[in-house]
Amino acid sequence: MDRILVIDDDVELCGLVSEYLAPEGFQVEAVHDGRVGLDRALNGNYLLVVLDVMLPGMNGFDVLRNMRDKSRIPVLLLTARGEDVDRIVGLEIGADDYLPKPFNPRELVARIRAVLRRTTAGGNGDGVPEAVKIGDVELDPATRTVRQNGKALDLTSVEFNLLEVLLREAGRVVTRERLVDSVLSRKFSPFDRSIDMHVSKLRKKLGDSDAGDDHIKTVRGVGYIFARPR
Amino acid sequence: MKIFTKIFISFWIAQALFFVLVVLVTWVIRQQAEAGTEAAQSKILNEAVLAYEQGGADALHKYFESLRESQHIRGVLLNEEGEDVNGRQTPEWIRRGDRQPPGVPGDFWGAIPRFIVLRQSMTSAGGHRYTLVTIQPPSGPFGPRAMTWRGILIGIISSGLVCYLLAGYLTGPVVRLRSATQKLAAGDLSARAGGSTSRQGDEIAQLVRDFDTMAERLEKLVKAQARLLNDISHELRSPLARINVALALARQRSGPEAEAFLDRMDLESNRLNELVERLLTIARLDASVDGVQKQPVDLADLIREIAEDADFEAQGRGCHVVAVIQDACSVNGSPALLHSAIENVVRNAVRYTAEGSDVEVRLEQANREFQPEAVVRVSDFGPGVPDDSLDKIFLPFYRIDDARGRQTGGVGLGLAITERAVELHGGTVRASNRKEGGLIVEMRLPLAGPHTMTTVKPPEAVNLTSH
Repeated sequence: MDRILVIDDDVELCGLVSEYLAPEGFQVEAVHDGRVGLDRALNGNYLLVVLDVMLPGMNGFDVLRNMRDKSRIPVLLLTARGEDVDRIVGLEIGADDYLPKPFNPRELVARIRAVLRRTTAGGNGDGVPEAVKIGDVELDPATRTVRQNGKALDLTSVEFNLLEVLLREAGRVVTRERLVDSVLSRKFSPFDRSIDMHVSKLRKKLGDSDAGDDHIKTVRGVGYIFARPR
Repeated sequence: MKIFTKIFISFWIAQALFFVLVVLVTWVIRQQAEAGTEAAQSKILNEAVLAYEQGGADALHKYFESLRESQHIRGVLLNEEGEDVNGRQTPEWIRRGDRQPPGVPGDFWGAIPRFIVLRQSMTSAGGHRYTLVTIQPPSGPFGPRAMTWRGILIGIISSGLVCYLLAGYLTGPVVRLRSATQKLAAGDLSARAGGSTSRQGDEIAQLVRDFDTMAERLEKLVKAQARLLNDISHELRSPLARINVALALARQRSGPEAEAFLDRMDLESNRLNELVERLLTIARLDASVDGVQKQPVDLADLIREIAEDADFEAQGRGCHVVAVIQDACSVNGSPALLHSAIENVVRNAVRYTAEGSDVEVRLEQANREFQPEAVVRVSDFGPGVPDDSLDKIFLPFYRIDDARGRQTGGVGLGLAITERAVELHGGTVRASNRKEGGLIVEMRLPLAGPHTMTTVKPPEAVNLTSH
């Protein structure tokens, strides 16, 4: 059974979700306070955390921030529907994905599975794809590490997957649709800017290339391209 | 000190200053002029007497002629009896001692004479007493005419200065007040008009203080309302979230007999969901004082997308949604809001159009009174709307026919959201019936470009077109 931590102050909801997720193969531990949740997330042994942003006391974003300081455990945020800022801020801080409340429980399961798929290496069993190096960036799927000029980069699993797709298509434009589909395992929706958030964070971490500009360039209205060094 | 007193005293001072200065300057200048002229006068007298005593009437006549030609001064020499020594008839007015020749209008009703008439007497060496009368026109800068213009000019400048300072003093806070009012109306609830209060207690300072008090209260009210909205939305969402999961659990564990009822519960739960979401959107739009964050939105792309999605839905009834893009149009605004606005209209059209018919979404550019705008027209082949209800359909929850409304779905809020969203972007929306049958909903939005507003207006402020 995969162990999942749910941090949400709605006790009844947590009970219902635990019951629902059990036959799907997930063992849920529910916690109703931000501080306690943070502690459990860092010290328990969970595969994934489902975190409600609308927590009383220590709010969801602070919990996430503190969590990210110390751990790369996958986090799925439960946000308020219609509040764009929740999503944007959440992804900025480092959530892997989000789901607005009220949600369809089937979608919850789908997203949890998608996030977990990304974070486990390989997954297909077809053999691990080979490492790829473009310019000063080197990515190794086997160890799920990325090096820039020899120095290891600290990326979230989403960022890693995103970089992998872009690197393997270096010099060619990758559409946003494809990125959302392969990296976030979702159907592309025009107002879903999460992929842009992830790209922007990845850019920051990569910094400037030797040519003095971004490694990843935006192609307006189409997608992104990892620039090959000249 | 009250404004009234300030204005009264300032204007009074300005006027008084004007008069005083004019009089002073005129007086001073005339003194100078007269002094100069008097000196000249003595000289002429001496020369005239000399000419007469040495050369007789002829010499005097010649002297006066030359005087007239060179200096435009006409002179008359009188003897002790007041008679012209030339023997000619002395004009009556000279004999009387008038200041001006008769029949010559002076300036300013005689206060400033048109000619300068001077008299001077002397006693010659021979013991005769002569009187010289000269008549001369005003000369150059010392003439009375010049004195008048100079005086006026100085008066104008000095009173102008006083009034300028006064106007600045008064309008400064008024300009600040206006700027704060505009900021408030545009959504900056923290705008205040109070600044340096170098003025105490006058009416304008009180107005500024009152304005700030009002703005404070407004800010508090709006913030409280926003907080309430947030709390409501949270409170409504929690039970809905629980219902969703409970329903899914029920499905997991129940048999086929329960399925139809679970479906019904799902449906109602979704309706509630949608209702809550739309209500909150409307409430937020109505309360949104800070306008909307704008970015360029390509309407052609947006419409194509909406049409594609709606077409998928429409196929269930054998209908199609066709996008007709005549002109590419780009507006400044919120893509999500515009998407909602247009999609709601298209969804309605799909719901009501006759089976097998098509819904058309047309985009073109129009120029209304030099303001270029994008026109989005959604037309269907449905039953249309009774003419007297054409504006009412944009009211929240309005339904033409209750029973049918619920059957075809929707909660009656879509068009209300459309109207608010469109107005928030400075546009208008209206509905009309087609001759061929069916409804046309037309949305007009100002194009992005140099003509657009710099901020998107909140709905309260826009009241230009009524339905």
